[in-house]
Amino acid sequence: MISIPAAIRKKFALHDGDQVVISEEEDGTIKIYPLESIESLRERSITVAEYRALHDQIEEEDLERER
Amino acid sequence: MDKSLCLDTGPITLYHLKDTPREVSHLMSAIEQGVFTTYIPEIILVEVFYRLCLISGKSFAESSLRSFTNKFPLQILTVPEDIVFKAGELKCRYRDLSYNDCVIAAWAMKLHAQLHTTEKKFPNDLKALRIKTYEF
Repeated sequence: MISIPAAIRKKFALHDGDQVVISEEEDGTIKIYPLESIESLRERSITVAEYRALHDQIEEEDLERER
Repeated sequence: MDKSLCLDTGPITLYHLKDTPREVSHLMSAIEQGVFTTYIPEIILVEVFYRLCLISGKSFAESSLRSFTNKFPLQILTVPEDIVFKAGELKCRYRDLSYNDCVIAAWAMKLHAQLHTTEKKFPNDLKALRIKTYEF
């Protein structure tokens, strides 16, 4: 178990039970990333209908660039 | 039921939408519960990031992909020489497929895994390629 200082928890909205990922960087430091729930992520996302329009717009353009 | 699958960009992207199709939600629940051994070529994760970045920006893409790869039991695949050769051969024969489509198809055939995708351009004359397509 790791204790994170209250000021840091408050700044990054970390709460008891939140999941995090700890990543070791090339320079030997570590980073802690909060894991966001899928429900929270979806609040910032778009609908299937909006994605369909985006997909139709970019798919052929991307494939043409690959040729 | 097939016990191993290759997961393409489409279903992963749909999983992150506000109104994820029910079929995709069921698939992801099964993957989370370990019903399948789930393979994803690393290069597909790059494409997922790209799609998620277009949807809602870099921060959204980073958070989504980080949560996704930590939540689900995934086998991340590189691109060794035999896959380079097979994917290159597929691109040569089927120019409508993207490079990533060719890589994941090559892996699916090698692993005898069903390919779960939203892509409709995969040719049906590849007998060794089993596909499950998701509509959206």
